[in-house]
Amino acid sequence: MLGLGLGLGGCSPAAEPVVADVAQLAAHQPARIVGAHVVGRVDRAQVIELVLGMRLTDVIAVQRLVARQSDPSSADFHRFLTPAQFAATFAPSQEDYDGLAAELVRLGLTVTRKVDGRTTMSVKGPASVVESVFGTELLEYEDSTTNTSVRRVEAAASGDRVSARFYAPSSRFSLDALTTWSHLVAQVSGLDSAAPWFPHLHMPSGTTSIPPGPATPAALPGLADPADIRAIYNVNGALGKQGQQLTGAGETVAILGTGTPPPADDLKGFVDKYTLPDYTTHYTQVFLGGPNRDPAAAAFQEEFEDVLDADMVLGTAPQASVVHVLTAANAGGLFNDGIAFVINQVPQAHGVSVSFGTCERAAASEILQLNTLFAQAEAQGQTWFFSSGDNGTDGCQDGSKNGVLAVDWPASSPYVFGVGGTAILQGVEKAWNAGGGGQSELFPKPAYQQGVGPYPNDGARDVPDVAALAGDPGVATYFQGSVQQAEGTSAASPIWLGIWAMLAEARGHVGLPNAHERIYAVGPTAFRDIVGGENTDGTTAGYIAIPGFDLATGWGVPNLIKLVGALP
Amino acid sequence: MNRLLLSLVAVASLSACNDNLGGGAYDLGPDLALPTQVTHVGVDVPACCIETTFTAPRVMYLAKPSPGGSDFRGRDIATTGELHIADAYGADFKLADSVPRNSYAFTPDGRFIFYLVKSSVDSTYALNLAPLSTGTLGEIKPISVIPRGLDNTPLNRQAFFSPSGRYLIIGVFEPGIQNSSDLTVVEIESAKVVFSLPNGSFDYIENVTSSDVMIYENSVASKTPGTPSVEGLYQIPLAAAAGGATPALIDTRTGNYTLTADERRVVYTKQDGSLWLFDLHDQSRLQLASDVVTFTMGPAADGPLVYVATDFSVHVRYLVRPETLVTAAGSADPWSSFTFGPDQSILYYFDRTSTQDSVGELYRLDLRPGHVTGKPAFIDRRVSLTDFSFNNGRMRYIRNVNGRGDYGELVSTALDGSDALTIAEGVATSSIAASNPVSPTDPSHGASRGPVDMSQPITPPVYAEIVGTTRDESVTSPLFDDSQPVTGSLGFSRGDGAPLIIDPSVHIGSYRFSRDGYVLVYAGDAKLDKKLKAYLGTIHLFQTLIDRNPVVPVLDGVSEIGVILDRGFFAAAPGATPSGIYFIRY
Repeated sequence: MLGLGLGLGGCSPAAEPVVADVAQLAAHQPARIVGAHVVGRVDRAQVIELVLGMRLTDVIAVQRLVARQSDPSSADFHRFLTPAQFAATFAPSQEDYDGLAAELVRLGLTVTRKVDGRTTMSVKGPASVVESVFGTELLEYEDSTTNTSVRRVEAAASGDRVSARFYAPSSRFSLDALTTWSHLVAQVSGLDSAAPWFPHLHMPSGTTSIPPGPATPAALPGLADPADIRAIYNVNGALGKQGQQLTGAGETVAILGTGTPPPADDLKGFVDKYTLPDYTTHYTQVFLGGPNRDPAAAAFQEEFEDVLDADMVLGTAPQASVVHVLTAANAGGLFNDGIAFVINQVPQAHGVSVSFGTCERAAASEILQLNTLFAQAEAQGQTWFFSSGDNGTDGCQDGSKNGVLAVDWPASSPYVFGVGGTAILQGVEKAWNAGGGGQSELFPKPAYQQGVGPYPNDGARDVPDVAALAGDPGVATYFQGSVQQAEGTSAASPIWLGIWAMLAEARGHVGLPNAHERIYAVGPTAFRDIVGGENTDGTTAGYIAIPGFDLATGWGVPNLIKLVGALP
Repeated sequence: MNRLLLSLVAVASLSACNDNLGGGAYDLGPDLALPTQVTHVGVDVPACCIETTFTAPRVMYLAKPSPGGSDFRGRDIATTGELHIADAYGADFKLADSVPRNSYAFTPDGRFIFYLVKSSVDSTYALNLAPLSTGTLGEIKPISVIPRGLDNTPLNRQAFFSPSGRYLIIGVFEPGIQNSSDLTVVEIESAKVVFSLPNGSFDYIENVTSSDVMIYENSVASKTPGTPSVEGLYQIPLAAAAGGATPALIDTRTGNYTLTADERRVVYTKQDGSLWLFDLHDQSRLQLASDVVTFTMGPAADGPLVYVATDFSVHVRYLVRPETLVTAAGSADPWSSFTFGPDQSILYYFDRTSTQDSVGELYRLDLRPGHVTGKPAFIDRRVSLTDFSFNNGRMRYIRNVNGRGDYGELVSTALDGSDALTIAEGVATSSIAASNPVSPTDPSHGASRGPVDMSQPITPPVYAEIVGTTRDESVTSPLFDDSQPVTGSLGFSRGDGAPLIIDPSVHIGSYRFSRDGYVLVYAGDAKLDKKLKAYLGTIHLFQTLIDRNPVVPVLDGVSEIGVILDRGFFAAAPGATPSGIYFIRY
């Protein structure tokens, strides 16, 4: 009772009803607070770092602009905005933005970062000031061994950096102290540490530099390990603006998974085996809804999936900060809660990967809701990658008997990147026979696909957009204490996430709004095209990987050096 | 105090009068004065998975069940057993072997049963239909309706009855197909399949009006690369379908849809976010809005229509009239659900919903003329989406739901959210059973009416819920019926009164009110039997007319309680001696 009361702002009698306006913010308290107990107030001098999200002037106008940019008949077709142009059209005015910054300084905070797009503002200050500005108390909580965050307790006990303690606001907070500037702020991140973001660290001394590798795949002697993947996708030699080798350093990406999280031992085993940086410095697990709720057998399958996701990102972009969001339940949680959480609470992630999907026709009722969120993410420069499935053109996993062509959702969403699969045989990378691909029955052809591919006039959204290794020889992952082989577009999607982290790093830590338009514009030149192979099981018809865009591998596999050059 | 109460009732006579727990002195009278009759029916073996009907004292059950679970991939393995049908008078007929749990049902009118049997063709299941005799249960003569292609899941997961009860709409797998079943319509009276669509058509959403017009989605299911399928929304009168009528296309690339209250029109979204109104009678179509994320229709034929736009503003309007209310952007979320208050003057909705916890923040919007501001008023946080109701001009809901959605604080508030009164703490979500006992003087209720003695009628409604909820975290595989390992004390209350704890340990869902609302039946002192993967308890009857006595232990080892019909009900008691199915008459 006490815990609940403190955590959620009072029990009985109920708080007075209040009018919801701009001063009532989303996600003011983390779910982890439920069941946790208060151990005290945050040290008054503790520095709290916050990111304020600005309220866009017209979200619908942003979405409409994205649509026009994709419409060949529109005057805005392929006319992309610079951050400054975006700010001029949709963000608070420069005067307001500066005024807010001045007000925050006047209140005692330090503005640590302003951005050209005027979409966020980073600030920091002592807890006492933060409490004053946001009209709340910051309390320190400790997880109970019986509450929903028991995993964190276990993690802490095992030496993991995830602590059993965290801080969070004691109550619903307000922006009243910002007076006339309060209407500019739509969101505040950082008022709690229930889902902490760890700082980016340098590569530990003694770690060898990443050796140069071939720009084209060679016959792999065994499983594709991180060095192989970085080599075949031309990561080695891809440099940032300061001439640094790209590793994802300074970038944040997110993985959305479900069920049992990757165990610390397995993650450590992976990075030790492949001489990667200490993962604990830049890999964070966030439990959305507490520990796993799925039945043990299902959770075991999900755990392997989660391990694979994490290993692929840690291996491809070894210094990217990875936020691994794990919903407690697959059904009803993975897509709805998880996607909404990542878009709204992890906005700093420029890329997100999900290795789950379902038959498109079974998802018709949820598509509008999720597409709205994906459109918001795309407009804000957060790019989502979804595995296109491991059943070739049989997205409904019906087997070979009926021959009905279907694609996976959400890979078929026009607002996300569907990631198909390849396989390397005798040194040649071809379409993987089980990689998902085909034509959507729900979405018309988006403008960015007009005139593209073997069916330029099919009137349907074609899948996938891009591809990466999913089949032979399999990728190396570390599960239950040993190296294991894994296959599937579940590997391809997080590989692309790692590539995306490095692309954003190369771009000066800037996301890629309107990513589809941009990628399709450079598709013919910035990818390594995959030619050969077909995504068919032999009975359900498939699509052959042909020169240019195709429905087995999209534009092909990444060539990071070329992508960096094409998307400065 | 609660435990003391239980020890008292164990020795109390059935005719005791309540005189100390409030509510006045009620005469128990003859209602429970006669000894309760407990009759073992069916075979003397462990049994489970009962299906009962409100139309006659009959039960379908599995004898000698083999508990299911999940395989190494986490896929369900159904409990299976020997399917029987029995009645309260001793008749029992074995129907089939190796039948999955609850893959059988009585038709709404109770005249027929459907059940699955192992197919003789392949490893799937076949659908049988059998008419039932009136009076004492007679010989069962099944008719094979669908020879193969059914799944091992409960029937209500792969089929549903049309509102009229004339049709069963069911998904049938083609040979070799694993995940996508085909839409199939069975006319019950003729036992014939009158309409079917191939290629996984049952994976879409179907809806049937009370006049048996089916609205459904489908696609052409292309098998040719380069020729895409296009999903569409269709309608067909099922009565005409048997004669070969052709479905009519309503629109393509649709999302959600619903019927208006008069079932004359369909409101639906398209995947481009547009919202449309289609008249099923004159086939006219009208676009209502664009940039729509989700929508809800009110209780009247013209709504009101409530929708959430892509900027997450809330819009309210009667169907073809101008908007009456628009909120600011960001007022709702993609999964916001809406409920109109008792007189439709207030619209309640949930924002910031968590679908895995089934909770959200509760807001209200005033719809009264002259009071419409478009400013949502916050009511409460972490409110259970499934436990929100109205009672005598007040709201009841569970708030402060815990982190995994199991339990919270049950409160009663005024309709504007003020004057919150805590009813109970630790109330399990989705555990609240409600009943509106009928007046004993109301002749319209026939045999279901309440006591006919001089008893004072009680004021409806009455409630039962789990309080002091706990979850058994050691249970990591599904229970035999997929229920949650959640137990707690059973509370009973009238209106918004504090619950009287009538048992310290009851499994969620192991209790129900009689149709007349005068008896609450429950399996008390429940304990988990890990071998049976079920909670077993002792049957108790609690008379809602009085507060205290009687609570009557009559049968041990009970895992399930069937519907209560005319002072009688079936119970599955795998832990009883002898084990099996019992009929309890009180």
